[in-house]
Amino acid sequence: MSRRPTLALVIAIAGIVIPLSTTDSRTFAPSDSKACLRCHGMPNFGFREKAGAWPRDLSVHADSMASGAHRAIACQSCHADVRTWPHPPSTQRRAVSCADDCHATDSTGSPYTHRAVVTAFASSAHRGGLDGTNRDAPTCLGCHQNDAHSIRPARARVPIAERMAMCETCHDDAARMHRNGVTTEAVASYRRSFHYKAIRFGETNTAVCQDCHTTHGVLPADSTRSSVARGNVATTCGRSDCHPGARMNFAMSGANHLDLRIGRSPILWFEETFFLVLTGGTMAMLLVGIALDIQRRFGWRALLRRWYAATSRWLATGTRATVRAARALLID
Amino acid sequence: MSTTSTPLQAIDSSAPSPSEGREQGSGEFVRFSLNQRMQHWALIASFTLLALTGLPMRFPDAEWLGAIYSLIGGLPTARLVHRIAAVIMIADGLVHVVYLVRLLVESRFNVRAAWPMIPNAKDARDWWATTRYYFGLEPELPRYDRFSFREKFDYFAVVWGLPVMMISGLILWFPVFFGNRLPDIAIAMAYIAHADEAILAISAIVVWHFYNVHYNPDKFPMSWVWWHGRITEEEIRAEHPLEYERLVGADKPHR
Repeated sequence: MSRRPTLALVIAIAGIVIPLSTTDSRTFAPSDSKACLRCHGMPNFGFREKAGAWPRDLSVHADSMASGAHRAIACQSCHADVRTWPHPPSTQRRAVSCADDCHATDSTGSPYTHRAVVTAFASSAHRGGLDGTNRDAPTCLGCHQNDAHSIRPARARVPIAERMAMCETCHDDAARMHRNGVTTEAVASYRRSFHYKAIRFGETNTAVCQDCHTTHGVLPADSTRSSVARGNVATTCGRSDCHPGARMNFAMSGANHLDLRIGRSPILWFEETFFLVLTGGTMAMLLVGIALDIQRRFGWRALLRRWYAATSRWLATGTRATVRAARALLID
Repeated sequence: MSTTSTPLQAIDSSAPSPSEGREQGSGEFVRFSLNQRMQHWALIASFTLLALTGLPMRFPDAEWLGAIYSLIGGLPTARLVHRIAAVIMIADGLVHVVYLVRLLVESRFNVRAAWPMIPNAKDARDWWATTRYYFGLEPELPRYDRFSFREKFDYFAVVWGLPVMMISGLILWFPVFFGNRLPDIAIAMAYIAHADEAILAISAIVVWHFYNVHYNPDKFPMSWVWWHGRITEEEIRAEHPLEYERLVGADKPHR
């Protein structure tokens, strides 16, 4: 939502004009969106609760709604208790819930509802966002761009990097993860996987968080219903558009979050340490060998003397040349 | 000190004998046969391609490495090139193994004659003497044979590195096939081994091997022996005196 200086002007006009223009109360038909859009279609439409408070954005931003998933839904399908002007006071109104039956139909004409999604969400690890018990947990609008009016359809249009960003916002926030007893290494360890590197180099045909952990039914791996639980992970990896034929051993490698597995596995920790020591030790030895060879040819002091002479020569000529050039440029 | 009386070059029948090389009149010896050089060329080509297509994957956040992918047509092309080069390197390794077996058979299973790159006690003594020389405790370098301890180190770096990269690379190339049949930790181990050994190999080549053949003031800008296989008499007398004596001694009639 954007807040512009002109918002104040519009509020002033709306605050004067609208009460003057309607001398009597009106009731709107449930499918009459035009009536709502008369005011709420204005791009800078807003309302200030009390003097000095920051105004609330009450515009539906009709131009972005026109390309959203909810464009064909009548206002009162969701805002079912706003049927009259003046509007009932907010104390008498329920907040819109995504689980409500909005009498919407999908493209085939059958009734459409988000109830299934909400049910899955309500039994997931993120349920604290649905019932408001956990301020750290995601809410519907928190992931779905904070704007139900211009909400985009999911997988088909959201770029893969943005889908990852949805999860990163919280799961890369160490303090938030600490507070909720979730690992702080999820994102960093994923960045080490081939799946992430494909995204990094512009590929879209790869697995991102939601592909393995599901979008709304996210559960920790030790929960039996989780898509990444021991009993389910082979099915998750073995989807027909991913790694068909995958079995347990493939699926349990932990390669997608390798750091997490290294942290739990002494064998892997040993392997990493072994290579670190081997590489560091070998390169140190070789570099020393080269240095010894060089110094025996030139001698340490002779070598340092040569470097010093070469550097001071370069600095002197470099400085003189720079001063000459500057003089030419600025004075001549 | 190796006491084989047979000149080494004659064992590898694909190389002309040392006396032939000498008679060419340029005071040069044949150090590497065409077979050996071709194996090395295949190694150079495949190693370079593998390193260039692999490094951006290891460091995906380095923009300048990502430019390599942009130049060749993105990640799909890079994956293809990496795998083709891998096949070349694996084939080269197999060719080398067959070559080693042939050398052994031709020398009638005399390991020291067939495989001069095997380290021995002399290499340990040479290493110690060379270190003392570097610190000024010896007046001159020890007398190396055909392959000094440095060259043997380079060789065994490949004997260790190539199988590690090959096995881990194949597991990562066919993760479902190998992952299903091996313990689940195999893919994780392959991930670590492939990435870390690559870094070690590339560092060792770019620093150590390149110093020996490029940056070394005696060789700069490049030693060409990998190309034409010939070594001058001064070089072989200075760097591999024991081999020189053996080759020259084979020409002389027995005393």
